[in-house]
Amino acid sequence: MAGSMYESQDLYLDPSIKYWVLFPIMIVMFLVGILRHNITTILSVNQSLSTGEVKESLAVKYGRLFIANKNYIPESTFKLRKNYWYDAYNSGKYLNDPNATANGDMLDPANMESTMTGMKKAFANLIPQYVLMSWVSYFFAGFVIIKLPFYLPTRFKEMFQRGIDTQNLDISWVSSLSWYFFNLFGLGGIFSLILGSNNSAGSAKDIAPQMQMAPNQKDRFNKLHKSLAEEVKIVEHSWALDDIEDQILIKYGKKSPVNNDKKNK
Amino acid sequence: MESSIPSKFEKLNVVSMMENNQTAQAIRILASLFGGFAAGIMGLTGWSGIIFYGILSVVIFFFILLKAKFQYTKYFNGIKDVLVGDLFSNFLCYVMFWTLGYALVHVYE
Repeated sequence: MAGSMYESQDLYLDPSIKYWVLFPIMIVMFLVGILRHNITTILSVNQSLSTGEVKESLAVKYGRLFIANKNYIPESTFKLRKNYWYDAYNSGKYLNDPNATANGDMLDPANMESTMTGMKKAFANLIPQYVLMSWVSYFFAGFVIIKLPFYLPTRFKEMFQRGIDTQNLDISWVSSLSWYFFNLFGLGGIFSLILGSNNSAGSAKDIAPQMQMAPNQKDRFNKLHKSLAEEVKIVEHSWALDDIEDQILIKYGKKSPVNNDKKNK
Repeated sequence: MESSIPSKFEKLNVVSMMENNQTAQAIRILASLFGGFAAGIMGLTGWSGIIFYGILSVVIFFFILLKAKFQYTKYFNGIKDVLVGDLFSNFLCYVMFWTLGYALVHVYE
C-alpha cells in the first residue's frame, strides 16, 4: 500500500546523530524512569496499618469468602455464621471507627497525610515528564533522527516533524520529539520487566489515574460493612454436595448419566 | 461437570494466579522486545510488521498453553489473561524496538 513511499526518499543520516541524539534520549529516559521509581518508593515508605484497619478489611474479606462458598458448609454452621456476621456487620463490631462521618475531617492528620502522598506522587510523576519533554524539544531541535518502518497519515506531520522545516519530507522521517514519545510509551514494558509490575517509573498510562486526588476514605469500610450486612441477610443456603456420590461416579465413568436420569424419574 | 464449577474462582490461590500472570506478562514483554528487534533487522515495513506481531502473539499464546497443558483455567483467570495480557504496553514496546532496530540497520549504514 505504501511501498512506493519507502523507496521514494532516501536520506543519508550522519552516524554521529545516532551516538549523540538517538542513544542519549533513550538512556536518559530509562534512567529517569528508574530514578522516579526510587523516589516514589522513598516518599511512600511510611504507610503502615493499625490493628483496627487490618481487622475491618479482613472482616470484609471473610464475608466475601463466606458468601462465595456458602454451599459447601453444612446448614447448621451456615446458619451460625450467617447470624454471627449479620450482627457483627450491623453493629460495626470490627470497624476501626464506627462513628466515622462521610466527609471525614480535612484537618485530621491521617487524612492530611494521604492527601499529601497523593499530591507528592502526582508531582513526582508529572514534573520529570515536562522537564524531559522540554529538554528534548529544546536541546535536540531540528534533527531528523529516525525513519519509521510504518506509514502514518499525513495529518501527523505537524506533530512528528516539529522543528523540521522541510515541506516535502516524507512523513516517516521524524524528529527527536517523536522518538521521545516512542520511548515514553515503549519503555513501560521494560520497566515492568525490571522493576516489577507495580512500579512507579511512570509510563504514559499511569499519569491519568494519579491526576485525580485520593478520595476521602474515612467511612469506606463503614459503608462496605453495611452493604455486606444486607448481602449476608439475604443469602440462601443450598447444600452443594447433595448428590456428590453420583457426581463422582459419573465423573470417573463408573456410572452413566442416563442411569442417573432414570433413577430421578 | 463444567456447570458444577462456580463462576467465581474464590477457591483458587489468588497469589499464585497473580504470579502466573506476571510470568506470562514477562514472557510477552521479552517476546515483543526481541521480536521488535528481529522485525527491524529483517526490514519489515508497514502492515507486514504488524502481521509479524500478530504471528508472534499467537506463537507465544500457543507455548503458554503448552506449558499449562491446555488447562488454562487451572492457572489463569480466563482466556483473556493468557491471550493478550497488557496489550497496550506490549505492542508499544514492540513498536519502539521495531523502530530502533530498523533505524540502526537500515537507516544508518
